[in-house]
Amino acid sequence: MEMSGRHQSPKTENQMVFVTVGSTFFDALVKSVDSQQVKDELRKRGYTNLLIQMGRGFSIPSKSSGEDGSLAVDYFTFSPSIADYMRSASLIISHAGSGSIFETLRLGKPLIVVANEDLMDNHQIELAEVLADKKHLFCATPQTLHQTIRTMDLGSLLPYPPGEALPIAKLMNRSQNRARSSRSLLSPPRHFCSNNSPFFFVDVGFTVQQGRTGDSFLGISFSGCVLLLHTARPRLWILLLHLFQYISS
Amino acid sequence: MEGSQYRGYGMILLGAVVSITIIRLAYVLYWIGRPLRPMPKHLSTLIVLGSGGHTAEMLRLVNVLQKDRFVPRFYIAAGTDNMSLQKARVLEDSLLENKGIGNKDIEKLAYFEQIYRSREVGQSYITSIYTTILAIVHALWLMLKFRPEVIICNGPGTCIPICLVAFILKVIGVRWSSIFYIESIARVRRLSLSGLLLYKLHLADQFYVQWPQLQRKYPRAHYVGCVM
Repeated sequence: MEMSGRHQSPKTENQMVFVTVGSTFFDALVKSVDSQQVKDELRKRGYTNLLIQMGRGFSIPSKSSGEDGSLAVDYFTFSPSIADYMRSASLIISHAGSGSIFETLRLGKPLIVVANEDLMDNHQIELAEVLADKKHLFCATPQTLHQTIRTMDLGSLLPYPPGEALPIAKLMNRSQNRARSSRSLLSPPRHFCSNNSPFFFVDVGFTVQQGRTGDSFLGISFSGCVLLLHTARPRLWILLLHLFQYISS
Repeated sequence: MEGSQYRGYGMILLGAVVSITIIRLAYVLYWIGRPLRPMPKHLSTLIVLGSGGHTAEMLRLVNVLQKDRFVPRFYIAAGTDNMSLQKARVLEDSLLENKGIGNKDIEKLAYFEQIYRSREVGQSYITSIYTTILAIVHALWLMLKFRPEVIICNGPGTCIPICLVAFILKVIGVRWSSIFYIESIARVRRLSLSGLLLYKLHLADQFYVQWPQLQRKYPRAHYVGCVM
């Protein structure tokens, strides 16, 4: 296996592996990382330090100072400065949460995502798999982690091009821009429209119209439903509606 | 005799109410997804923050939103989630700094509110009925208070009571709010439960997905590429 120069700095420096389980717990991952098998593989790869963010889990890894040439192991539960640890790490092993994944990819660090098989609705693995197919990261399970570390080729990883939220913003803007042409068919001219008044907030319009035969109608539009009521006293209704508008605005 | 007469009126009234409801429902469902009236300059916007990755995606979207148009903005997060609102606050503060507006105006542009969560992780189903009702009532209260014209959500269950209430308010004519749903980037092959509900019930005006596989499966969705 050839090691790529892109992610690998000289061996004299500290080569930290940072493990994160996210905001909950993932004991299977902590146990797997703490196993001798995985530690050996990491050591063979030239990593010197192992830092584990273990969350609320119960499985506590064994600390080690690493003076005898083995891997130095340290852990903590939560920290506000996870981004700093990520920045100083040369390999990140993470749970499959999208937050951790994209934070790592944006930093351009090599990443192994370990899927939590204990979760009931395990959709998170989908994202890891599709990104693994595109060669942005490696995908593993707690059981196969040591194999993945042994066989992974860091040089084959491609940098992740950051996504763009602009298309959504544009679509949203456009969908709000087009005028609604046929609305005029449904809504009668309004004597009184309460749409934006703070007092009376129902989107409803009232109008008094004269029909062709000379009869008067009180129209109540309920954005869409138009109710026409025959009325003998149109002037009274107009007065009432104006009064109502005056009160509510 | 008189009783039967009243019953007749009752039947007519019931028939009228039912038919008006059906007409109104059809009307609302027809207009969902279609743009409303010539748009006003400002659109009050409700932004439902999920948690963790959901919030990160949402704030990335808010960042590129046409900010002088989608104003004022109401941020809502689950009551158990303190981080999301804090992050939104940081974003809004940085927007203000860029614009060079004094601190005085921040209350006018952005509001932050927490909402009851309908179901905690691992909560039993019987108590979750009670909490769901509580969440819906709280959502109703918040929706009546804000009456947003645009609702943007991408989240887990928190957005369901809000969208449900928004649809009911649409039907009874209190407020027409367009619902935009952005499916999380973590969903590659299947929609999330909230996404599926909004899609199947035609509640969302526009439905965005971030993977082409999903768009093929759900043709009414718009494929917009990865946000993150």
